[in-house]
Amino acid sequence: MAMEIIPAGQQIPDLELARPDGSVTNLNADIDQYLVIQVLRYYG
Amino acid sequence: MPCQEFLAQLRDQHDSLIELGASVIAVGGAADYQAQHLQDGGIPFPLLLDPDGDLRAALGIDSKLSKREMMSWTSVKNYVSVMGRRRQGRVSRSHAEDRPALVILDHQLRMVWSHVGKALGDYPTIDEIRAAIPPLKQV
Repeated sequence: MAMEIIPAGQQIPDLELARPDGSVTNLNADIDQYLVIQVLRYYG
Repeated sequence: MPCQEFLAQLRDQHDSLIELGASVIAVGGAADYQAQHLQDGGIPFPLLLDPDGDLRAALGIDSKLSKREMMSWTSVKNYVSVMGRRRQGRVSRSHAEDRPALVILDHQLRMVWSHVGKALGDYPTIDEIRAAIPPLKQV
């Protein structure tokens, strides 16, 4: 069964994500008050 | 391609989103050379990689687009509308059916607003994003 998007107010972990150069950063590394994330596929 | 078209819209409206107190990032699969190419091409915010889909899993959007959604009128329209302007590159098979999405989190990484695509290139408008960002708190 497919998962559903988490509800408003639910917190997610501070994940480690890779930069294209191979270095690693955290999701909350540079957040002002809000973080807009485009979740995409790069070739599409 | 539809995702890159939307990425360009975010680039063009980046300053207006910053004015609303929002940082912007894009997170995709494992195409590091493509992300680097886009970054070098002038995308002003971080393009990050999530090859194992950890972010998608944390957000609950790790389901793939179904065959029906991939072949829907909206998917075909969004794909065809940009294919004349851009050249399609290789797509990792495991990421080909990834569902597009746009989420807004607060500084404690709590979900504020989301749009989960039901077709290729199914993103909200920039105006919808701006309207979904809560007003800045007065200090």
